[in-house]
Amino acid sequence: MRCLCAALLLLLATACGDELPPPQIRSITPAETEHGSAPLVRLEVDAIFPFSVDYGAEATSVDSEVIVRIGGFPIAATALLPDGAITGQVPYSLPPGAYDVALELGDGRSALLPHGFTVKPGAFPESFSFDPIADQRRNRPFTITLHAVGGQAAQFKGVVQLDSSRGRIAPEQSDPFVAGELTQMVTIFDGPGDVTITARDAEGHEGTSNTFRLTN
Amino acid sequence: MRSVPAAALLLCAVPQTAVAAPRVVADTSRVVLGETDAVVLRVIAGGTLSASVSSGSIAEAARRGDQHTFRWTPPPLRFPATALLAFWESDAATPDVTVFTLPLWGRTTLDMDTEPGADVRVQVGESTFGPVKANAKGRVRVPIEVPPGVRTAKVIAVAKGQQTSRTVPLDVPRTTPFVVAVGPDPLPGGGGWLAVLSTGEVSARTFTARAVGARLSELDRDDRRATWTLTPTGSAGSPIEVTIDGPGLERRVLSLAVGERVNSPPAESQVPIVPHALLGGFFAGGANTGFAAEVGAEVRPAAVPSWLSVGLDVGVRSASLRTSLNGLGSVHSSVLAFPIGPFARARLYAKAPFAIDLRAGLAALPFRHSFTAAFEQPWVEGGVGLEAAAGPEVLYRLGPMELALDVRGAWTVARTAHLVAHPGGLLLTAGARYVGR
Repeated sequence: MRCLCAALLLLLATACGDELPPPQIRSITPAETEHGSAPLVRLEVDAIFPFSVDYGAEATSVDSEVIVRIGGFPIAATALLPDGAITGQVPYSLPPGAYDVALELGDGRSALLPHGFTVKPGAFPESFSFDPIADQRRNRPFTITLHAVGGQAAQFKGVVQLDSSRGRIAPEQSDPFVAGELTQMVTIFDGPGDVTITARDAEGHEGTSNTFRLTN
Repeated sequence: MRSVPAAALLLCAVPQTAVAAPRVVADTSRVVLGETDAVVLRVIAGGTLSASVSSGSIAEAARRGDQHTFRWTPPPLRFPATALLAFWESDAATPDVTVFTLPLWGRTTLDMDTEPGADVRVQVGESTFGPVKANAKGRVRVPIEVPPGVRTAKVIAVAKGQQTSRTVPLDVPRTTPFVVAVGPDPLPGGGGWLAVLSTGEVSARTFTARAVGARLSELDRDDRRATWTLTPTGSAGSPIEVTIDGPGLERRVLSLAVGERVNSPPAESQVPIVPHALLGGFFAGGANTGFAAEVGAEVRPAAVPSWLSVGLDVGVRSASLRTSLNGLGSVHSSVLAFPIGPFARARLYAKAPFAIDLRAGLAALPFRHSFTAAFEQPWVEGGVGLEAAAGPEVLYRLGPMELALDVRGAWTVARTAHLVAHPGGLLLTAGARYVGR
């Protein structure tokens, strides 16, 4: 009986209280980028996500919502992966510098990785040019081709903000340029009419397409 | 069907002699050898008590004011007999002895030959046992219980509408119980008294007493008791040997000494501990289902009725739950709980070899909850829940063991900020108790 009680106490001693521990950020990959780029980063974390288990209802719920901030800016499209990593996209507009990386779980517990992410100065063009765009059908995807022009155009590998003169364009942020060029699939959601597309990088360099018509 | 004459729940003993003798009340009127573990007696007397018994053993378990509690343990006999228990105040100058009579029922099985298929009943005294149907060869076995003093049984067989009856002898040894009392206890140098008390079946007028180291002088005699003055001839500490004898008596030699107690029953120093172990499961709806086991031990303090005992249980329960989360794979939760707490057991029904007890208890429920998922570190937490449980236990006596089937309803909760589990509900376990003898 005494052995049994001792074993029981030992077993219970290995258990924690019921307050979940604060999360920790083990690493962020990549840990640096160039100004104007918007890389997808992967955070390795130690975290117990808020959860509840009800044996009577045979139900388990886990709150996997997370907010990741770099330098105070929330990163987009954060998601918890089945292997426990968290991914998200760094804002392309972050100026050069070293930034704290912060993680916040759904119940408010948070972690900070001081100076965990660095933005280095990037290569930028002076402007952008579009290949001519023919008339397109509304709400249907089509391809555009952009060229970085002037300055360090050939080294530009950042992303640009896309805007349409009417309606809404998707995506609003382009894929990265490769050697100063980008071919991108876009869709414009609006009624029939004339429209132009404007591209703008993190430092404000921009270019506008020819006017083309959206048809039904 | 067996019929048993109605018996009073309590038996009272009236002093055989003077008014100063103790009054005795027992918690049962029926002792079945091999089944009754002990009899608790409450004796009302102002001073220190002495006690002696004709068979079995007696111990004083407690005293509160003028109420003394004794526990008498039956002898290891199986045939019917009578036990005499004598109580007197230790410093009584005259033989004011209360004799308490306990009939000891024996249990046996009659093996008989009769007509094939006959329904057989056995009448023993005023009790009837059976009917039991004879097999195709006409063999029949009827378990019976026999009170002291009954030496024959009437066997009644009914076959093909015809009833036959015959009387069969019961092989019961003849005994003449008697009990010896000496007072004052311890015996003073100036002497005291000796009393030999019996049931009267064999008259006490025929009893003889001889003493070495003392002188005996007859005081009084009737059919139930014989008394003498007992005067030591030696100095303090000198041994005295008294021999009681008579026709049909089993000779008894009593050794005592001046100034030393002889009839003082020992204080009960050891309370028998009955251990048990049970294995099974629990079911409380949803995932509140799993393995259950417990070990425990119980005692029957002398101060409580003999049908009641109290003990302590330590158990283990386990349950687990695996669920799948969208896009994140499966998560696994498991609960390991250890109910520990006191319980009480009351015997509701006993007809050898079966018995039915009611058990009820409260328990603290230390538990450990682990939660694991591929996307995070395992999490282990603990807490202490509660349990209240009660239910019947069916027992089957097998030698020194009782096989047990336990059914209990349990309100049980194990809860943390992240967990709600009920590792109780309906508890269904089986196991054994070691009751000894």
